Amino acid sequence: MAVDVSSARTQLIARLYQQRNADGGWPYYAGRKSRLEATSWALLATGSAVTTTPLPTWKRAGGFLVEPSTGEVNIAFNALAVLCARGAGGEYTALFDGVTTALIESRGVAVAQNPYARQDSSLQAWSWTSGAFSWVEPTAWALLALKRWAAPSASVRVRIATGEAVLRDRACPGGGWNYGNPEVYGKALPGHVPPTAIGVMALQDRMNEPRVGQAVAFLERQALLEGSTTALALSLLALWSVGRTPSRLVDALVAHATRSESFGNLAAMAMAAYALGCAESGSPSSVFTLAQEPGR
Amino acid sequence: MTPVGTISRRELLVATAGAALTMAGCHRAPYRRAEFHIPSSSPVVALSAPNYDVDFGDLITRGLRELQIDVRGKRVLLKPNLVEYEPGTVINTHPRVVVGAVVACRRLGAESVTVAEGPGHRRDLEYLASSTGLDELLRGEHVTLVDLNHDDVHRVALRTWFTTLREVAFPQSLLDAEVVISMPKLKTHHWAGLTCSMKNLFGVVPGAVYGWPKNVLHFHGIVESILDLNATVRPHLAIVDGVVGMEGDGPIMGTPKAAGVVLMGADLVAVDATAARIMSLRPERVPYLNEAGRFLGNLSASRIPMRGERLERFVSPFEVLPAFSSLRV
Repeated sequence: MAVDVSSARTQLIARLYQQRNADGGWPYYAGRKSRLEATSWALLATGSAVTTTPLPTWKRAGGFLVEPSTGEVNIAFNALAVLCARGAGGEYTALFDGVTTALIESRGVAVAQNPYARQDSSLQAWSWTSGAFSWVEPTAWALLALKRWAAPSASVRVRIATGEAVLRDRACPGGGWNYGNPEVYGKALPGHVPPTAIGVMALQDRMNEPRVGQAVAFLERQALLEGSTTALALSLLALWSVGRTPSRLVDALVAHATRSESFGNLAAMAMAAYALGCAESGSPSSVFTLAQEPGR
Repeated sequence: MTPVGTISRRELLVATAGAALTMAGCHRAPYRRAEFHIPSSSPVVALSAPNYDVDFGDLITRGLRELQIDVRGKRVLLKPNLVEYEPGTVINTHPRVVVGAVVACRRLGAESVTVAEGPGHRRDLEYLASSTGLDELLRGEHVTLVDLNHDDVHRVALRTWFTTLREVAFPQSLLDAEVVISMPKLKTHHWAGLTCSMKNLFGVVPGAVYGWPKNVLHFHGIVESILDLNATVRPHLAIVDGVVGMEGDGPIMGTPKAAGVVLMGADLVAVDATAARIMSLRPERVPYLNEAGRFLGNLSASRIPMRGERLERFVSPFEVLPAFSSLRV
């Protein structure tokens, strides 16, 4: 059966518009409140303007956007918002410049070395919430946002170097990343596809490093096996960012995303719609792919 | 994760548990005593389930009747333990036990039954539910699986202050439920000693707010977080999948250990204490249980009348990591 990328994407986009909230944002699940991650992905997928979403009206804390429905700052999703909103258009540059500045200043806390976990817990990259420890996903999104959008400066270079060090340190022995513990009690923990995909995007300009090559190989090996909408969509974006052409993943995403509708998860649907848009246009994502000379 | 310093996470865990005990025993307890009442007796039902081919709908119905749990006309939320998936391992509450609880609650007149989880390691619930087979079984029963990590939230003041969190954003689906049932897997745990119905509540803390692996709870202390969450959420019942549990380096990397039992009880402290006894661990030496036994529920076997099968038939020592050898009977 021929895979119809365009029809699948159209179906997903229609679903996203149907389930958009009255405030112009998107929830994770239909009927719920607008959230930063879901809105960021949907902005990209639908090509909507930031001005049609509630993001410009949200309160700020230390430069970061605060989700009104939670009252919290999620640093990882703020970094994702920088990528998606700036990638979707040039509006509200000042808003997202402020988030980028906050990312430069933000750092996870250092903690005592845990004798049972093989990792350098003194490294301070990015945490999910302020005052917490550094983990893979927030570090990878923040790293990519800074590489993509931060003006080059000494402090940016230091933050990028620290973020890269954390990702190197937390790489799983079998390749890729999980949430951020590679080895506990002497046992290697397995990588997971979604954080590995985000890690590969963050280190796409470090392809000469063995850990990045291992992570790419892990994605090529595991993406179809995990096979969820999120796993497939993020893997596509990651593999394109390092010059791969994973056409089997496109076929799998078309079949899977339209059949499962991603458990109703609109953030996952939006990831899929955006990835399929890239597949349809035949060009890798400009949002998640660094130029030859990344902005540092 | 521990603050910067020279002590290990385990040392900190023991130290902070000791500090909590001191607070409760010698100084002002970190809660209002009048808000907590330990029942004079906390029955626990132990039912034989030698494998997963058992009719868990019938088995759990029997347990609910034995405990006189009334779910008629109520919105029930089942919270299984769904953390990770590795083929051939026993990390998660078995989907057949979960579906058995769905069947039993419906049979006894529940208005609605929802299964809800916020996995602590993987944020991809679609992958976890599909790979474990839970999704397929739930669809067969037309049951909704709620993703607690990405649910709407409402901030709730904690009823105890073992952590310094003071309030937590809880998922709306959890707050809307009239009956909350914790459905853990019987496992050892490399940071807490054992994980059962009380530790299972880590899964109700939304990852999309606090991140993965629910680090805010580790940061504030595992023992303290278990106490604050349970004192605030106050689940109505626990149903433990002890058919095949996990020993050694649990909750992910341990090895399967058959115990052939389903445990049920309305006092989660009593259920977890009984689980510990099945594993040949001393509940009073498990820091979170020892503290919970002071204000939240019954720890002493003399106040936990056993129903169903005799407990002795299920007792089988679970291997623990050397750091937890002091828990052994």
